[in-house]
Amino acid sequence: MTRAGVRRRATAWMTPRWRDPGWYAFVLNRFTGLILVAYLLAHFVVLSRLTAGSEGWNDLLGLFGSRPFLVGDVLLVSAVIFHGLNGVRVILLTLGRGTRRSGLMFGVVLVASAALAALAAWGILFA
Amino acid sequence: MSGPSLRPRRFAGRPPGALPGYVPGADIPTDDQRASSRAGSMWLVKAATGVLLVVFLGTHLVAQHFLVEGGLRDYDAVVAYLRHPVALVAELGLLVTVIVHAALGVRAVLVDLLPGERALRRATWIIGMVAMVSLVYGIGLTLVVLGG
Repeated sequence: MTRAGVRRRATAWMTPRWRDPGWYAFVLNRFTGLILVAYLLAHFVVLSRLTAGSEGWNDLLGLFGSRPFLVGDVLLVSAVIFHGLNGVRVILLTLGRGTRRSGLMFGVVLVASAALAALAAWGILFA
Repeated sequence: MSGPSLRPRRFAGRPPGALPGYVPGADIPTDDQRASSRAGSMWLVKAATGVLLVVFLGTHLVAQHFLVEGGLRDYDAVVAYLRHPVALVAELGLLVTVIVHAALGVRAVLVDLLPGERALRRATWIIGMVAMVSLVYGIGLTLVVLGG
């Protein structure tokens, strides 16, 4: 495959027109998945501070408990929730369950994700 | 029924004559044989680790953050948590499953871009190395924290 072919394939993903619901689910799944991979690597780096003992670790807690980081946590947990619920949908479809209702399932996943994310946001920001 | 429409639709529906399931970019030539032989080979592992992640990551988030006053454990609380055998198994299980799942996911993104055989092999090797280093690092960090 030529480099131009790879580039065309990558940009073809980003065309939001002429799509079926499954495509939006697929792209959201990819997008949240890549975000979670980036967070995972950052999380590993941050956890290295545990080797510095209580001084090294406890100093970080004020920063990570600050408002901007908590808002980031809400976005992160929302990504986790969507990726997980959509993953269940993908598994069902892979096993041949509900293939005629995949769009409806995507709607259910979106609504359930929004509800759970709102609950998590309340817990993180206000509880 | 089909034919040139008087007012062409923009940004909605599908191109004239396209069937449901039409995908922009699907006209780009693909290597179907290779795609089919590789893309699905790890789906079961991804599904299995995905289900395990619901359990392990759910436990992790609830125990490490949602049940903790202020949402973050201080150092002593982290050590105390890891000293619990069930927590230790859950955290190490999370470590393994999340690394496997993430590595397969990143590779799947690359496979869909259909790079050349050699580029894909190299990417797979790099992903595998990052996964192995992460795994060793995670286990080592856990042991250091437990010992310290």
